[in-house]
Amino acid sequence: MSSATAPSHPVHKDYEGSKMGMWIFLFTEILLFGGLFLLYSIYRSEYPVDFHTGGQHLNTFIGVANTVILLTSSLTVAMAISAMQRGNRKLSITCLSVTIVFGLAFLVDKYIEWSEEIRKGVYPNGPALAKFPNGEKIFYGLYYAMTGLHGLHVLAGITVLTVILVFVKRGKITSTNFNQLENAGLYWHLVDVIWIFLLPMLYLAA
Amino acid sequence: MPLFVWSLYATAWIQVLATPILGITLLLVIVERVFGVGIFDPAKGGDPVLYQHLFWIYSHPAVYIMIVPAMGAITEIIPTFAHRTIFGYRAIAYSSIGIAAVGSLVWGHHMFTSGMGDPADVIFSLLTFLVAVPSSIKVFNWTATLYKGSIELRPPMIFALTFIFLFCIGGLTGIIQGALNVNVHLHDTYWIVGHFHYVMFGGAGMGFFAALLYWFPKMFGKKYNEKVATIAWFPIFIGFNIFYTTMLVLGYMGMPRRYFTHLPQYHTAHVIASIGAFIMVSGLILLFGNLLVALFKGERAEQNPWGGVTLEWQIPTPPPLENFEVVPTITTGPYVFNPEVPK
Repeated sequence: MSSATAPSHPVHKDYEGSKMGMWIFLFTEILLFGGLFLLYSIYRSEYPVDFHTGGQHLNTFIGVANTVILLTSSLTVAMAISAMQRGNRKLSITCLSVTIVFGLAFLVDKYIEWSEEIRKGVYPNGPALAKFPNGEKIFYGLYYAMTGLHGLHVLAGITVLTVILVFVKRGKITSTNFNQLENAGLYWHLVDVIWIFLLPMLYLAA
Repeated sequence: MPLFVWSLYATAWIQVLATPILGITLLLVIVERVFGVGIFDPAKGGDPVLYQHLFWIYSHPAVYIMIVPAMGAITEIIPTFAHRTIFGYRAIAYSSIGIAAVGSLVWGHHMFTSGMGDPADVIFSLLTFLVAVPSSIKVFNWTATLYKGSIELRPPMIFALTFIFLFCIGGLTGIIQGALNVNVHLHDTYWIVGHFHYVMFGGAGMGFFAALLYWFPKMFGKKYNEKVATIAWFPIFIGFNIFYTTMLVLGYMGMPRRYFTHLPQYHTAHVIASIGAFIMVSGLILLFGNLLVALFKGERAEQNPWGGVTLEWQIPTPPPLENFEVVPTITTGPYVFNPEVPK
């Protein structure tokens, strides 16, 4: 860069600050879901039988399939970061794209699962759910609230990863400046970790 | 490190820990109302007391988010106008952290009459008494700082001292209603309204006024009329006490909160409280009118109008971009007056 185009002020880069900020943000995300985990544990101790039958009705196959999908996508996003650190931009782009595809596959699975429940009438104020005992109403209330909020996080994660992918393609993220890619990866891992808690709480509750 | 920064650090912890809980609670209320998802509705097997818990897990620490920065500002103002170093630096710093920690565990004292159960009631009552300890450590340290100081009664100091006085009343009434048996009588009465205005307005509010009067010249580079600010203090202080002391008495007599009307036996006290409110508001108008005039027509303020020793007074007024050309080297503590005189 010639001296004429150099910025008059030095550019402030705070790698540690941005890392710490991301971790604090992830911490608040865990507390956000923490409210739901708190409600789940209290209601489960109040209605242990209803939570058992509620868990039996859920589609465990789709739940486990989605777990495999998310775990694999966590691997690919970690690979995208490693590839970028070693200067392999092409591999990084491939890994990021695969991660996004896995995220979309998760949402498609979720769509199939929810529409099956809705078809059966098991949705808030739905005809089938209205006949269930109170504990199961709460179980399905938490099921929709937790998987819904998690689904929104998957959507947000896909959006962030897409933006990062564009940055990588335009060369804004390089092997010496990959902070944003790393933070996006951290967010994606969080989405994965929360799902690992949701799977046993809801699908394996029986 | 100045103690104001310590207080902001403690506040930041409360915000990070408590705000997400409010976020999820409001989200759940929205999905329950809009989509009919069963979470708290008893008709769907939910428990409204759980909503109360989640709400207060955030909303009690929220009052500490308001008061702890105000306490930090008071800790800056008192040494400057007593011309004396702060007494008990460590104790004040740790008590900020103590308030943040214990204050996050006392939310249940809003729910003594909700039927959450005796063990919970007793534990929350005990913790509520405990949270008074770090607050009173601060009050004792401020008072000890004033002892043998050369006190200058200029507007920020007047409001800082008002803070201590009103906060003490607010704190002591808080201890009274933190006791379980008394709380059954006082719950949801005007006593509670009086109490929280003493801590939130007498505390956080007066702390805000003191801080505003203290840093106004530095922030805007304009001087305000100190005489008018002092005159404004009288109606604020007198009106405040007429207004909220009457509320304490009304509540003790049995006047409930959140009613738009009242029984005839409470009428006189309501009239007295209203007169107090008007006196107080006239003072507030004078206070802020004075600052507005200063903002547009005030003289240029000098670099250090109060003789403060912390860093912000060592740079020009108003502060230049990026405050310091180079990172300043700190050789003494933040509250050293007369550094040439050996201790």
